[in-house]
Amino acid sequence: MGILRNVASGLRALTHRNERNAEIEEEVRGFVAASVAEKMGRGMSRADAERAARAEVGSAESVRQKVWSAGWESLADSLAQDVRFAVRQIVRSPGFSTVAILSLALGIGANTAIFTLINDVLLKQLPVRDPQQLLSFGDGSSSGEVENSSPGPYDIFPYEFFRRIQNQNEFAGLCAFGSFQALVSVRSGQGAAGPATQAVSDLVSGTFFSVLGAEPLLGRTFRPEDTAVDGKNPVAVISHRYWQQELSADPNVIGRTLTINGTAFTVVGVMRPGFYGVELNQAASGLWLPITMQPQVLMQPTLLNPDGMFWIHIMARSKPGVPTAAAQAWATEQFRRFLVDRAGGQISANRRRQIAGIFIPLLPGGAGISNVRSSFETPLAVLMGMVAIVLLIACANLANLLLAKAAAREREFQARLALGSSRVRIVRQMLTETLVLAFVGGALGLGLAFWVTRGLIHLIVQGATNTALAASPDLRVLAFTFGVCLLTGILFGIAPAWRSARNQAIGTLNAQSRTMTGAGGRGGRLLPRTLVVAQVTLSLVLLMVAGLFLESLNMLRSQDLGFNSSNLLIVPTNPKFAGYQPAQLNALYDRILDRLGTLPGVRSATISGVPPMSGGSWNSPIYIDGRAPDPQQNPQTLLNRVAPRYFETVGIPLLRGRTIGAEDTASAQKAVVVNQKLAEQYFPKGDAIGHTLKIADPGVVGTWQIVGIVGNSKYNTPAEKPQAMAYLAIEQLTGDDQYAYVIQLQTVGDPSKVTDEVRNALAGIDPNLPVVGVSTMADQVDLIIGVPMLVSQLAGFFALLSLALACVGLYGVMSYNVVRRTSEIGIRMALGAPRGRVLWLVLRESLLLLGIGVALGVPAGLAASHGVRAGLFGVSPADPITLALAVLLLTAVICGAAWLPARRATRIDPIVALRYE
Amino acid sequence: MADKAGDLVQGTLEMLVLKTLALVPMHGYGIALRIEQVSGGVFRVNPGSLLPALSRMERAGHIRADWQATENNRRAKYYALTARGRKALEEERRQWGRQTAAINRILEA
Repeated sequence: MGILRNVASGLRALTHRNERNAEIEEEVRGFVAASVAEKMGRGMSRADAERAARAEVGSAESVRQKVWSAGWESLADSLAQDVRFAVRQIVRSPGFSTVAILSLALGIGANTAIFTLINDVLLKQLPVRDPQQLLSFGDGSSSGEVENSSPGPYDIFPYEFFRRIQNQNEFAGLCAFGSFQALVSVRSGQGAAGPATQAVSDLVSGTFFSVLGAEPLLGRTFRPEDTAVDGKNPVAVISHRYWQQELSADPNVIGRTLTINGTAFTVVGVMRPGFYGVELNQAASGLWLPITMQPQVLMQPTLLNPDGMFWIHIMARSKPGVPTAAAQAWATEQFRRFLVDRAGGQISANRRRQIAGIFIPLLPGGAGISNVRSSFETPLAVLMGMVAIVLLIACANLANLLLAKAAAREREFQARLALGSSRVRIVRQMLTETLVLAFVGGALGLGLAFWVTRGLIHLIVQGATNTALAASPDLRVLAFTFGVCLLTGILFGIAPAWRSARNQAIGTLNAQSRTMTGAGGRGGRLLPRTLVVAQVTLSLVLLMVAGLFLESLNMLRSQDLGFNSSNLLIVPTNPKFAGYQPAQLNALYDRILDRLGTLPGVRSATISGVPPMSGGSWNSPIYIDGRAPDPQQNPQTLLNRVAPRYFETVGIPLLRGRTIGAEDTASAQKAVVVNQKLAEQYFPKGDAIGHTLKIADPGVVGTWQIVGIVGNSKYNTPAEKPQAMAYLAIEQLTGDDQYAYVIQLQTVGDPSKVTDEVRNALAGIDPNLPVVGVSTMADQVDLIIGVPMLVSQLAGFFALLSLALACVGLYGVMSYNVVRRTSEIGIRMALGAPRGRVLWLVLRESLLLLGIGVALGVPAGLAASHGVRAGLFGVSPADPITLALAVLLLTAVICGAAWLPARRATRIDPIVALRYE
Repeated sequence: MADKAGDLVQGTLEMLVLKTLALVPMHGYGIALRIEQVSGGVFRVNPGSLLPALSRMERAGHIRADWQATENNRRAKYYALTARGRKALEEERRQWGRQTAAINRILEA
């Protein structure tokens, strides 16, 4: 109440400044008049009374000032005055201001952009009720379907475990969801007619939405009853985006039927905009389906039975009064008991020990679970460090420019001090100027950051159109940018401001003295030099780090992938979505390969489970020659399923034996081709061909005979070491494993040119076969090394930017020194100093600064490189060549920047110099 | 330098103004004169401190001001105590009583 009145009356005084002043003046006049009247009443003459009253009141103007400054508005008013003055100063030197604002916009913009990403990926809490109460069972980094038994922390569980603990008392609520998103085909309406679209879906428990506290926009969310009986609740909740974009915001969407992977589901709810579940992935989910509908949605055997695989994540809302440690102990105890029960009667002592080592860490779940987080944590931290350094270097530059400017304004400051201004007032004035610059630059930077962030997010999500990552700044980002502006303004303003206020040089108001000690003195030159050394040091750090990243990118690119990535077209399809049963597949594959193999421009065609280097994760233990696995060796292999001509098409070289061919039909002896790594690892005598394998994965039946050995190829990333790998003949598989999802074509020319013909050919075979996301292998490889490439290129860009800034800094300081020393140099030359000596005189100082900078920068750079070694590939953090190149580049460029002012010094004409001033 | 005897005890001006206005609304000079008279000429309040203090107190809501005609037909700003000001006066008085009592005890110990 009081504050409000205070603010209101202050604002009134500010907006009606003249009225307020007139009012104060009138009151003062009234005071004097009343005083005079009273004194005359006591018998004084009018003249005497007036004189006495004036003596009593003093200067009416100073009283007016005092009354005016009694309120807060006078402070605001003088700040406004400072800002106005600052703006005038900024406008008066447009060159300096443009440079300052642009470099600040770049620096602050880069910082804001990287911070926006950090905020999006690492900091943001889920848009749900009280996210800080959410607890995640484990870190949620595992995904897929796994059978696990090793001791250690767990984050992935069988559904049965959730079923057992869901009605507990330790938490306010528990929910479960699939550890992976499922890509499903969706047809509008009942039955399998009409065009299919693809959508990303999540399988969730009936408690999912209530535990998160997420309210629907339309209809309802799931209830516990929706997952009470397996397979009986075909209902769906859809995201706001899915409703808008795929269902045209149909107002009657509730109750509408969607056929999802062949099963009719009823839409029961639409979520609010901004809700994306708990997973921050490249693509946000459009559909949430009951977890108990898993067999229908994934079109595969149930994962819900008591001895099912580990495939779900669990999240809980904590209960007030139950400490996390107690809840964690409880959950761990329940899980161990569950595992013991599951093992049944004949549990070995060894297994018991393993189970005793298993635990569930309860971690804060408010930020959700993310598959982008782990891969971007390090790169983003590195980039944040780099942009912070760039901004520091820019600050040092501006501080130096301002120091020079402040020296030029020394007379102004001296005059102001002489006229009674306080030092605090001058410091405030200078800081206001730099803060105005910083905030103008920051505002520009914010706009810049928005565009840059949009581009970066596009690269991170690899083209996914719907993502929870947002480029628009939220309050935290705005606060960050505001803080950076404030800090920047103070950082580059404080030194010059301090200097100009402290400067007591007595004679400054007199004519400038001829020696350079006249203005600033030795101490005055120390600060700019220190700043230059700091710039050189920091630039060297950035150059070294960027050099290492570029070198790792080179190493990644020059890796032999083990296959031929050029002229290779990747055509994903899905016979499962088109309704094919396993028994129909071999005929379909034959038709597809016959048709595509004869297309003009296609050299060879094949089909397989996954293409080379696609990020798949099918692996299994193997039994060699039917022997039970040696527990020491634990033989395992990655698996792929391939049709004839696979190796010829993708260019994996055959080393011995034969490849999978047309003869490997369903009725023939089962054939497997292994890679060199597998052959060497499990058949050290070099006699792999002819031996047989059994695959532990229960889906793969029969005994497989090794018929050939092929070269190693990369499975997931170019950075990985060779892993054992086996290629099964696809026509000899059964059931779910017989589905192939990717057609690969070796083309004569540019592979993207045959895309349309391939689509037409497939449509000719079966119009229901979905063909989504055709790409070339070269593009795929670029996408996979996209993140390291992005980081390296950004790092390189920031390093060059910092080098350029450091050059400008050194050049500025040296040029300024030469100008200051003009008369000194003139005298030296008049007394006969040779040009070479003058050149050396100026150059020496730059080289000294460079030397100190390098001496400090090398250890600092080594420390920084050590810090980023997690992001490097194939290059040591102390790589001597990179280090030498960085130092060389820095030295060369800085010497160039130092040479110019030195040469200018030698051109000084002694006569002109002595007349100078 | 001002006459030492005329200076107010630090921080008491607002309390004295509140007390003065407790009887009847007054204009600025009236307040100054009244304080001088009642204190027997010991305290002299100059407008350089009185008027800013009045402005502050008006802001704080302790007093209310409005322009009225004076006895000799000029316009002057008359100040009056508000309910909040009355409470502030009570509070300051209590504080002052405690402080002077304490100081007296120390001086007489």
